[in-house]
Amino acid sequence: MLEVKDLKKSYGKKAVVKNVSFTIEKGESFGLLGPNGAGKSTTISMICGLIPYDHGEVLVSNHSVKKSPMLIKQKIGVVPQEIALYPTMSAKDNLLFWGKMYGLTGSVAKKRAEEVLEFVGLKDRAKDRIETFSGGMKRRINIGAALMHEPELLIMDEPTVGIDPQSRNHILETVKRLNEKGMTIIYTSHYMEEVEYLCNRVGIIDDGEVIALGSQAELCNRLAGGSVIQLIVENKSDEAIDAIKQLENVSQILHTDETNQLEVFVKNPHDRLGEIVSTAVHQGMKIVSVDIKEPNLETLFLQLTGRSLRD
Amino acid sequence: MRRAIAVALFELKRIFQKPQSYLLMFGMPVLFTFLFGGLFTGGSEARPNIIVVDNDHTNLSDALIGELKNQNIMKVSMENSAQAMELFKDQKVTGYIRIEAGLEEKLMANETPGITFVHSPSFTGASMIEELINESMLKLMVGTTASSTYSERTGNDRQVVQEDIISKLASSESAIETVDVTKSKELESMDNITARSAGFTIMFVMITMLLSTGVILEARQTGVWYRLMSTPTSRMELLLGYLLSFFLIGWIQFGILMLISRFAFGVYWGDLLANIILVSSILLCTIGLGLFVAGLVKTTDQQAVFGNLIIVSTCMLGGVYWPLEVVPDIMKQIAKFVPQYWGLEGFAELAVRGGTLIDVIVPVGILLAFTAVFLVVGMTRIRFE
Repeated sequence: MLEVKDLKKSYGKKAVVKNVSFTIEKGESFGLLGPNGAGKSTTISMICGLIPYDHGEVLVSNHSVKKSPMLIKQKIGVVPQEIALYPTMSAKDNLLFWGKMYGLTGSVAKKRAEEVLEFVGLKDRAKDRIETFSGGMKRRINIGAALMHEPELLIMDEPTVGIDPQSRNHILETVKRLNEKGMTIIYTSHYMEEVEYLCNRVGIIDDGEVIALGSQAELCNRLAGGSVIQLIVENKSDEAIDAIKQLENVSQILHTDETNQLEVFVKNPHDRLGEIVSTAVHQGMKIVSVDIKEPNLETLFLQLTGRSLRD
Repeated sequence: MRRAIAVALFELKRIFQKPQSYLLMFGMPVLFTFLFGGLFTGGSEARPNIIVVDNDHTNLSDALIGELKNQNIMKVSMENSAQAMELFKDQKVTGYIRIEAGLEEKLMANETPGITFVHSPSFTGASMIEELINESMLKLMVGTTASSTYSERTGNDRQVVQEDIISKLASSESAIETVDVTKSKELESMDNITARSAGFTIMFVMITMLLSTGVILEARQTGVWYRLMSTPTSRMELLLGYLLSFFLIGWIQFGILMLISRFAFGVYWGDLLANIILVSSILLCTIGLGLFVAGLVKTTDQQAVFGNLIIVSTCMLGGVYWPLEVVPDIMKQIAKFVPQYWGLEGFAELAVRGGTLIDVIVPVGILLAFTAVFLVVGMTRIRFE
């Protein structure tokens, strides 16, 4: 369905996307995970043909985005990060307009608008202006506008930013249903739990590069240290950290001078917890709190970059 | 093309859906036209007060004064020279005409008689009064020449013949009267409701166009532009759609305002075809200006500030708020560098001088030249990414 090969993009001397490559099969739900400013939006903008790429190639159903942009745009539905709607117009008017932009006409557009409103659960608000909607409802119409022409590939750029948990759940369920119906989905987010819930395969992107790519199971297996024991301590010292690092099954310790936090990557954390805590205490550190994080995309990102996804 | 039409119709629906649009597009210009136009309006009561000072005191000077009074387009009263100057200084009168002594002698000798017309700089009908004096003088010259020739050949008393001829000329209602009617219309229309109506229509259409062209900036800010560019709509279709919407919005506003001023204020706009061409060129120029401003700024707020500043200042320069006759010569020259001046020039040609398409070619050409410059700069600065 989608093939991205050696994609590069620079603004002046600053490279924002560096050799990004991945493929997505038809019907797959692919998550592009990364912190803000990692290059996710630039990558999907190039996939959509919105900004030209400096190097590489993007193929959608074997058609080059560069050579056949209009053909590709007809196959793709884009849900932008912003609420890209006309606030003073009704939900239905907005959907009809975007349908027309995708080439739908007259009764076809009207019928499709009804279906989309039904699908996003806002049929009873069809005639209300967007500006009267809650943030979550706006997001749902924002998704609906991209569904008007029944795209083969739906690209969603952080579609749940700034909304309440209930609306987020509604949107996640909507995306799940779309994927179950056979729609191919690219979902970008810096919320690890959303990507974990929705996506079969994940690409983790940081500083313009794909640093990990595969199914969630494959990625979690890559975690050399398994889980993470997070310690909040007082009297942190290099000697104490070195002593913990020497313990069996401890693969890596991440910490910064600014915080009193230690991230200890370790296999079998429940077995090793007592020894790690006692070593820390023995070395003069005072334990304030302990937390065990199971292997997930967040810990993988932490291990690969030394930073949290939401830093 | 279907998508361009969809964009245009959607933008039309968007603007006419807002109640405040009606106030800005129609309510405000009509109100401004009524207020500013009304100040200059007044039918016969608004006739200028002109004093005539007769230093000649001959039959011919009496005939000249009678001729001026007969025109009925100004209030004529008689005073001596000192009083006339005093009243003029106190701005109690619009101006005074001084007939110098020796009028009859000079006319008889075929020389140019001394007549001085002093008026306030703000009196825009001065040229018309001068024209009337010249026409009246012409009648007197015809009379005196004819009477001299007649008395030489027949031996009749020249004075009697002259009086007879002049009284017949004075009572004649021939081509000269027709010219007078045209001139009096000019005074009324140029100073009053037509000029203000045309001016404020142009100004408020410019403000509307500024807001309309701001939708491109707004679309960029809200992400709508991003989404538009992700649809299979070409840049050409998108631009065409927006330009079409601006043009239609502008025409609806212009057309309705012209109709309101026609029926509410009795403004005569003149030749229909020429008006269509002139209004279209004003609209294109205004759209170009809106895109030009939109291309220079980044947000709709910046556009509103800079755009309104440009519109208000150029309207002042171009003669929208007040007649250009009241400003110094240098300002009259500067006025030629703003589009409003040429728009008003075109309307004056059609509404006042009875012009047709051929008569507005210069204003239309200059407006289109402005359009070309504005559009080239504005369009090249629109970023599609």
